[in-house]
Amino acid sequence: MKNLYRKYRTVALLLLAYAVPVLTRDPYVLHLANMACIFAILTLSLNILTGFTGQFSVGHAAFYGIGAYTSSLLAVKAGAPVWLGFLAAPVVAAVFGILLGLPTLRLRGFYLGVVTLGFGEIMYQVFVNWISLTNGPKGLTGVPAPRIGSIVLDTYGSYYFLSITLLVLTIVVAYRLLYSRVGRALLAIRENETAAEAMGINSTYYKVMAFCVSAALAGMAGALYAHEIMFVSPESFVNAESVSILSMMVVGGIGSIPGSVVGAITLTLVPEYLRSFGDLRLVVYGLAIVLMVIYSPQGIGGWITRVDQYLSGTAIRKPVRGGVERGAA
Amino acid sequence: MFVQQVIQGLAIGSVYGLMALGYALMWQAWAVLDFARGEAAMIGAFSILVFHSFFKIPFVAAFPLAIATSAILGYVIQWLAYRPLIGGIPINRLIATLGMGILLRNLARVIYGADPYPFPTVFGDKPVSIGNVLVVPQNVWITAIGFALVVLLRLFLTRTYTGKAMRAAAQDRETAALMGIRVKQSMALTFVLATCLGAIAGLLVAPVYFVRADMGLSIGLRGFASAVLGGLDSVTGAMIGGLLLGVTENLAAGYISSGYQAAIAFSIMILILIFRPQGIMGRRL
Repeated sequence: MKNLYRKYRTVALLLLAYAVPVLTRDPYVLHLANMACIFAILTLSLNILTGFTGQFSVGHAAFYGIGAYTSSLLAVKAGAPVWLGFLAAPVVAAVFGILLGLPTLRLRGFYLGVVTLGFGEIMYQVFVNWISLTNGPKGLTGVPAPRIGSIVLDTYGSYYFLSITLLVLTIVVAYRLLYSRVGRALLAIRENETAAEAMGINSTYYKVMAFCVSAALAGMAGALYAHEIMFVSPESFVNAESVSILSMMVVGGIGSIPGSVVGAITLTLVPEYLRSFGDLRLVVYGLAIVLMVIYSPQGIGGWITRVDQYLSGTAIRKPVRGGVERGAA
Repeated sequence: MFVQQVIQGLAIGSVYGLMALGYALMWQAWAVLDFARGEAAMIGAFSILVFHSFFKIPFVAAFPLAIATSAILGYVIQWLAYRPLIGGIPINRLIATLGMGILLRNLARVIYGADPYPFPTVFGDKPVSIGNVLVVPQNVWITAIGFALVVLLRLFLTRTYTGKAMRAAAQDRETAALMGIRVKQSMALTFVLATCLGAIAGLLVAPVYFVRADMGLSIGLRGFASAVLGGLDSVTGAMIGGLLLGVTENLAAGYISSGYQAAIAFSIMILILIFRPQGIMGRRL
């Protein structure tokens, strides 16, 4: 039983994920499934930066927005093929990521958070005010749907296959990154930057790289979003959006890959089902974050790991007490 | 034009300064950048709205009532969401403040709705011309109150036993506890003080910007930028940061474009952070 579980858990999850458009035909549900994928990618991208590397970002929606605008502007104004936009979005976002990552040469901890917050605010204002390029608050309409051969991905159901594929790709990238030399370097920087440097890790290089990878993935999520909604406006990239991505990461578990995905899915779906509560749902949202961080700081990811260890028979009877105070003020 | 923009900038800047003081106090005592700080302004503004506009209590009496309400709410908030995380991982504390901010903002929206409430001006908004410069009395009052509060706060922190205890607890929690200071109480008091400063900032801007459930977002963000600008470990610095941000923002709006007002302010903040991360008045990091 345990061997069976260990062998087939990944395959079963993949099958389930790809079967969503078969299980339901409701376009609203499929749209939510797409949004859940997009936010899962965003949460994972933030987790690489914050969860793995310990660099705080409160302006992640800026990269998301840069990606979305890059890809839709290329398609709408330059008439470029959609796939070119999907390639350009992460590249442009990564360039901004490097630019923003460079201040990490001098800044640590929360001061970096301040810079990212300011960056998010600046980008939002640029989206709103650069009317000749972005069409301002009215937004860009007519963003085309991508096509594969003669199949146009213009329904939520068909688009979902693109979303889930990119999400799976992101998960693979995150795992490969985490369990590599680079990933261990990032974790070392998170735990203690000075010690990491003493061990010969070029912390500047790795921090800028974390920014670059994180921004690229967020930019890709932006392109995915723009071509799903077929419309972009600055309102989708306000600071509150950065905060929701951050909340998804916290609820999912800081540094946990499955947690990121589950956290994003939960916080995308739950508010939708709480719609009848009106504004009260956001109160619940805030309360959930506070309670989660006080009573279960490991997040949903912590629960998943425990269940997974139990099912696969790798549970450690006595939990190892680690708990290193990280990112000292 | 220039002088007028500067005067207007000083007024709004002293409000930012009051917010920045809250951030600086929170940073010192709790070692957290408090993302729910802006909500203190919202609480203050709604308290004065309820007492003055709804219950028709005269402003002189409504003012202390509003401050007292904010202080009580502040105590409850820190007890609920901040105190359980003392000594935990810093990022968790920070995220708790983010969650608290969302909670308070939307609670206000549920109670009062999303529409802005106008608030009658107390200090007069008819411009008076001095020489060839038009001065709005309200702006002068706001600036004066801001400056008075900074002086009072400095005196409180340096001259009274409670103030000294608060600073000691902020500097070294354990040693302060060994000296017989009740650290948790002292931290709670700092939180209440920061909330009161925020509340005053909120009710000062209420006549200018209206009272809205989400007013804490923009004022909080600017207060935050001011605190960083001035240096998070200095009371005077926080005020100077606020004034600087207020004046810059107004000059940028007047001479460049009002749309990019905030973008320019934040660009300056980022540049200062890169080249002088400890802020204008702060000690070296």
